[in-house]
Amino acid sequence: MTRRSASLRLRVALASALASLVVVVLVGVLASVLLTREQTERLDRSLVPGSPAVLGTFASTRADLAVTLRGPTGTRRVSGPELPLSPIGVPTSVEVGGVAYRIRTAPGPTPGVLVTVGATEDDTRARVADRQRLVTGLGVVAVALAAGLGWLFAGRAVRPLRRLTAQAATLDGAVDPEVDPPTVRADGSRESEELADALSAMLARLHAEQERSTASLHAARDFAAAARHELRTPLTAMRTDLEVLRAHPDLPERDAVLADVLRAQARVEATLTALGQLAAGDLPEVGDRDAVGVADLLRLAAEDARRAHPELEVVVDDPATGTAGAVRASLEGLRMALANAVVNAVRHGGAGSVRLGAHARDDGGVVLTVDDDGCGLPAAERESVLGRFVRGSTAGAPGSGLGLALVAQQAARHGGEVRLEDAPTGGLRVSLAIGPDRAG
Amino acid sequence: MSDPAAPDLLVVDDDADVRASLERGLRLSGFAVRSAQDGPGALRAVHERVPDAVVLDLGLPGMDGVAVVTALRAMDHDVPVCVLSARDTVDDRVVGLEAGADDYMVKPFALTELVARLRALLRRGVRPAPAASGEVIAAGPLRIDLARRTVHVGERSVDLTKREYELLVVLARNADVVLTRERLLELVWGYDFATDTNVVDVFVGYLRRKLEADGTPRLVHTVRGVGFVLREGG
Repeated sequence: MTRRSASLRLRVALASALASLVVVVLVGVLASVLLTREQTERLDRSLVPGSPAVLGTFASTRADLAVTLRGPTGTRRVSGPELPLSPIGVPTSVEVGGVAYRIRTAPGPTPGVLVTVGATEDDTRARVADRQRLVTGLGVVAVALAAGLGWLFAGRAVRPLRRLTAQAATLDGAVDPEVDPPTVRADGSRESEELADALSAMLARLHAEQERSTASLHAARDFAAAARHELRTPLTAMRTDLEVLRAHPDLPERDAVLADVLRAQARVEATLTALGQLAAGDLPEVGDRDAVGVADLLRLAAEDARRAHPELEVVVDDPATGTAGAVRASLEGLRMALANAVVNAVRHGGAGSVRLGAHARDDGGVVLTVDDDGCGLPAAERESVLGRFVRGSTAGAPGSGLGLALVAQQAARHGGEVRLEDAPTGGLRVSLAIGPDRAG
Repeated sequence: MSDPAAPDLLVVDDDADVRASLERGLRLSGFAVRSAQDGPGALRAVHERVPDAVVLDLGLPGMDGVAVVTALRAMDHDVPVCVLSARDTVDDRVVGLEAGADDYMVKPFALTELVARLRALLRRGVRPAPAASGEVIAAGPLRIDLARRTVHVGERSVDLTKREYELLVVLARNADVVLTRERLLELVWGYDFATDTNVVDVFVGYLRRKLEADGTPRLVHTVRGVGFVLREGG
């Protein structure tokens, strides 16, 4: 656990205390300077010498005053200690016998005589110090008050944040796709509202992301279960047949059982191949796109079909005029898709011949077609049989339920789609469209 | 294979290969085998002639195996049913057995194992029910009326399938005695041979759910590594 920083509230309180401290110090210093100057001026004004009589009265009544007369005959103290001579008319601070005096020298009542009047500065300084203490005290109170009020107001200001924290703490990680993504609210200040909005947006993004990954996890799990199911079924038949062969070595129908075993084995193999192809097709694109000649593709697919189904009649149409000569595509992917369409025609349509063709699409793409003369497929099932592990009602000899799903997958990889239609030749037409951006 | 004594089996599976191989294998193992490829077909076959036992795939298209078992039991056929499942998720089995099936096997399975279990279930089926009229077994809040074949927990009546009831009776007759899974398989299912199945655990699970439905404290306890015991309190 990292050490927590000071709370926002404390920081606001400290900031307001600091700000008020700066103000108080400035004001205090200014006040102190002004006060000192004012008091000194007042003192200076009282040093204006009057007549000797007044001087005498002065001297006798004010113990803090000192007066020194200087004439041609010498220096005479009137009262207090003897004061030094200072520039005429200019108040000066001096120290006499350890006591600070403010003195002023002026021409005396008789020509040639200078009068120096001095007053101790103790009083003035004490008064100034008094005021300074007062100002300092007020300053301390002001700073404390600022800190306290800062604490108080910051408490109100961070309340929305506290609410936000409380809401965030109660959010759990569970994602229920049925429920809207959680939102948080923190009305009270613009920043907190913006923060809440940003958090809510982030939660919504996380929610959507999690929903997506949950969905794909479910899909993967369903797929795995379906794949297991698909493999277990032929394995069950196979195991039963093998046990029969072991228990009855002299079985008259031995050859039939062996044929069944081989068929089940072929089924397992076909399912595994299709699963592998499907898994490969689910992987993100790798750079396997080349310019594929449409005519070459049809010729290769026809060769594949003739090799795989020797009894099948395979016809290749010349690509219709206006059809792009080449598409950017995965040759292997399209070949595999066409081969699966042919297998579908033979195995489930009972087709005796297939016709491979290519046509231009209105939007500039290319459509590859596989027409057969088989039994066709009810219109209601033409969408569903494109799904994985889905077999049509007309499905004949056992298949993996993956053939047309593989065609659909390749179409999707090529930015197109698969459509099942009635073929002009009487059976089913499988149309594999390739998006226009792939044509070139 | 026109042995009139051969037990009449109905095999229900939508996959032609599986159906063909099971038909042949079971026929060669001494059963008279009929087959159906979907739920309605299975019920039609039962309607024609009630078989001695049914081997039923759970994953039938349309009306699935669970629905078939449910329909069979609703029509008061207590013919032994062994369900086959190609999925090994627990839910699947649980649902099939809870509907009233007697045992399950996960594909692919050994034919000899299926044959042995079917024979045992058939022996069970023909054995007359213990005529213990008037006898009532009581253990804590549990009361089993053997004559009426009713089960009560306190005042609440508990509805059990045949196999659940038989398991509960065996456990209650042996209250406070720990019974191993093997012993229970033998006493309830008649499996007097070594067999690898957790059907006992599954049925104990059903029993607990039904007996404890209203918060009744656990009666059927697991003795780890040994088996199960019916006893009041811990």
